[in-house]
Amino acid sequence: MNRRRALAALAGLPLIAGWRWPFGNEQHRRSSLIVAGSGRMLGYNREIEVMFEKAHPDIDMVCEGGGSYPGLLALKRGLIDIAAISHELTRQEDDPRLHIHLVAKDAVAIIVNPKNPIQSLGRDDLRDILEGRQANWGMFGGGDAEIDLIDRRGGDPTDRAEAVDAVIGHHEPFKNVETYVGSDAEMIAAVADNPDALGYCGWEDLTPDVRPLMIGGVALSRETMLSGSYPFAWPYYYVTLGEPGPAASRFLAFARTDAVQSAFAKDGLLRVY
Amino acid sequence: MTPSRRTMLQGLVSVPLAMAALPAAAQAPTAVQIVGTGAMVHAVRLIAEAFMRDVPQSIVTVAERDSARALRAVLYGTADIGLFTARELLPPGEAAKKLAVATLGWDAEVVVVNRNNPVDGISLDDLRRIYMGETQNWQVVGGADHAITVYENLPETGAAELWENHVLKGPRFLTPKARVVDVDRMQAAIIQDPGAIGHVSHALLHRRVKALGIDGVAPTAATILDGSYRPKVEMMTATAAKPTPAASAFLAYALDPAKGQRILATAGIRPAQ
Repeated sequence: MNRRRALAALAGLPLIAGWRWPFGNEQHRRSSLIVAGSGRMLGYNREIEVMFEKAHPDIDMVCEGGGSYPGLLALKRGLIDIAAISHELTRQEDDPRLHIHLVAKDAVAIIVNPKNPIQSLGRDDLRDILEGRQANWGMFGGGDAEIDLIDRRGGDPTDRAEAVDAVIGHHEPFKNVETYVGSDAEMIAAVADNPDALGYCGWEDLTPDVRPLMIGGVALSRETMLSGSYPFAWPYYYVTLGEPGPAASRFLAFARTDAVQSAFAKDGLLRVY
Repeated sequence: MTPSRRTMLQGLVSVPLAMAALPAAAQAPTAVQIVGTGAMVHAVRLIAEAFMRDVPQSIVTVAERDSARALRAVLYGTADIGLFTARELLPPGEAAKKLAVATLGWDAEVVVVNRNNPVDGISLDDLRRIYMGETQNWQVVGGADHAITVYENLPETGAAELWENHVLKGPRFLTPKARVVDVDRMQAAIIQDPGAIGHVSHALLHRRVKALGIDGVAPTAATILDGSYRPKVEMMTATAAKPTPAASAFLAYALDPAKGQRILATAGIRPAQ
């Protein structure tokens, strides 16, 4: 999957690099800023782009997706100014030249019906359920009932189903899915109607109709998502190669402002400033 | 008086000042970004959660990276506090003056085996030979005639880093037969596997595994407290020489015997205070 995305993004790199040309003729007055990477961050990046260009009309900004890993490759090759990365960088991905700026966090809640007696599942338990090795609540201390797994329809790169895959290290379609739904609201309604259901939704979409499970004994809360104790939370990073240049510095400072952090919070992310 | 002790005392003196520097609840949030290694992250996450509950609107994020990367993040200004466990990783010369270091507590990395394994203790040299793959049967070190299964922590973790520096040492390599897993899976496997050997932070020790003595020193609370059980681990924080008020406030909280230090003790770590 990553390899396919990397190839697709690499194919697009000359295009991205070419974007510098229109600005080159008037570099004495204008500067450019290219941000590319995580598909999950693209919508948020574009929202900031609009705000940033309004506040800094002398900078022309371009935002693209392509995936975190291709974004990192493009950054390391000097083709973009900022890579948007939506996971913790591994030691192999990291590089002493990289400056990794945290700008927001996000998390997914694993939800059950409030009547379900199960309070907590381990990460491995959840992987076993999603990959079809376990299908009965009785295996986890609940009643003898089939687990009705509810999934989101795929296709949207920003969908949280992808995030669930990423955090549990699972990259195949979920097995034994009982029902597919099209939105977090439908997911919550389906879980609220079914005492044997297991689903997931954005942490900010939770309602009293469903109950978020503890993961490995850690309850979902603002504090545990920010601290990282809750394992199904992930960071949003802007990464630069070396010290950010003038335009990138202004953008990074802008991303830390109350205006941007409030916009993130409004979009359901956790502000980190 | 060592510099770290002096820094800690200065930290304690500055507790009221640092707390006063925090904004009131109605003002913009106060943010602290922490990056660090191994078992420190587990304990500091608990302190971060308590801090966020005690200080309204504060935001403390904690990301896990190895010591060298944590120190780099502080030097680059992309993290406020770095958690690290090896003084030799501090930068030399002028760069060192950019950092202020404090000791948060002491931990020990404990060798663990299956509870039915008759071996109670091992020498550091035998341990090294097992991890290099030279010794492959428990009989060689006084145990039953049973193959040894070596478990090692994931390469991103402080525990693997520590083992590399304190047990393997020098140009020696982990046996390719080692099973590389996260700490939870390691202990789950050791509970099941009578030939298994692994190592975990004392703070994360599972009650259903058996901890081995090393070089005649049993892993008791007393020997970990007095530092005689090795490898012992100094848990340190690094900040910019002039930390932000929010970072100072968090460190003061972490070093407060009634607050952060008490949390460390409950997490199985010997507090510095």
